[in-house]
Amino acid sequence: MKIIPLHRQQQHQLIKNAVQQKREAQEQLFEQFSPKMLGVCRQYVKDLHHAEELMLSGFLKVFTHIEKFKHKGSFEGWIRRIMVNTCISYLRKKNPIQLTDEEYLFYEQATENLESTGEDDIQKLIDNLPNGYKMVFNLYAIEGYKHAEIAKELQITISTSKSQLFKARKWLQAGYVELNKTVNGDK
Amino acid sequence: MDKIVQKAFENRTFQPSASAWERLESQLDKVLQKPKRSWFMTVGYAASILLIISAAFFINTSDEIQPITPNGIVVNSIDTIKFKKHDFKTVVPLIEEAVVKNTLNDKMMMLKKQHTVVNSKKKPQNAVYQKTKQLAVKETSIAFTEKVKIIPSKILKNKIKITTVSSIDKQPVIHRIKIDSDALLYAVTHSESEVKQYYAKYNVNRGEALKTIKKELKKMNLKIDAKSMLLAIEKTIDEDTFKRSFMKTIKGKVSGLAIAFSNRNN
Repeated sequence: MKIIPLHRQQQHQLIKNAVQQKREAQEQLFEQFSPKMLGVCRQYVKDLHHAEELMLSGFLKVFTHIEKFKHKGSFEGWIRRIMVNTCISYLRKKNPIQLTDEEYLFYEQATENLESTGEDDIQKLIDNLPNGYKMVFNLYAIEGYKHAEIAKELQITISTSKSQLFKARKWLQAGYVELNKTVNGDK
Repeated sequence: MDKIVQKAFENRTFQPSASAWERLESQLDKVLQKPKRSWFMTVGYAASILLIISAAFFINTSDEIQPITPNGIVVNSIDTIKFKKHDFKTVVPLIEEAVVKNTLNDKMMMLKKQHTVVNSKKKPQNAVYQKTKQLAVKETSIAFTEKVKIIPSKILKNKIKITTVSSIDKQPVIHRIKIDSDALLYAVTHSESEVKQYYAKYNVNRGEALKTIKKELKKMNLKIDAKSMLLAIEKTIDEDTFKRSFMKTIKGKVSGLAIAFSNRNN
């Protein structure tokens, strides 16, 4: 699939046409944003096929409610938010948020080494996170939500959001140490 | 740590499968078809509700009980000034189906006052008497939209002599009598064969009879269907009076009707 970069005016026109349910415009917008949105969905679910299903579900919402986009922010940001909400609602439906209270060792060194870790390895670490941790971490660290927003989105308290984030970080660091051990052991 | 992860995933892209757009398109088609259906459904629901409401309204209005005003109570007052200024006929030019409410004595009195006594050279009262008698007996054979009370012949016979029809019609008044021809036919049809036999036996032509009735009705200035009249007469064909003089009886019957109507209108 070709990714066609669009100018702002072109995009505006495409959105207008998409509002009128013109398939051609919708297809062009889909081609433009689907690869990135698939990446967003992939942050929340482990396999790509599943992520694609969620992405399609998100785009369905985008095209059926596109008239609600008021051109105030970026269109990409609007789509991204829809994708995130779709993924979160899916995860919440599938598995209610587990608020675990396990203790994890915090490895200071792990953070430094994480920088040199590849994209796939980081994804693997996130995939292993429990759903509750994963959602809070993704929303906070990747999407840039504040704790109040996360709390509202996930219908939890702000303190719960904070504690879940803290635990998610510890989990990731522990996971990274484990990963390194395995890699070094192999070597 | 957050920044590292954010940076790693910032521009990450995955190529969707080739069939992704097609799947989305089919889903979009389904979603866009739904509102159409729901629109039709809502219109259908609205139409059915309207139909029910209108039907209920129609039933309610048609079932309204009309208040029956008892006789003798004046519901609408008559403007007497109008009557004084104008002739009654100009105010009420045509009275249709007025029910005769006068008592028999009143009728007789009125007849006495208005009409001269009949000379009995041709003995018309006999014919008229016979006619009125028959009408009284066969009252049900002629169905009026509103019943016309016919003066019992016995009383007429004893107390008054009946006037000729021509004297009544000196001041011509427009009469409109509605006769239910179906009811007449019903009363007649069962004796049709008898009627034909009678015509054959006494050598009477039906066309002539019909012509006579029409002629008589025209004379009396009565708007009655001659055929219906003949059918009513034919029903009583077996009676001795008719056997004696069929045509005479027809004429008598017509004149009797005229008297009855004039009485009623007076």
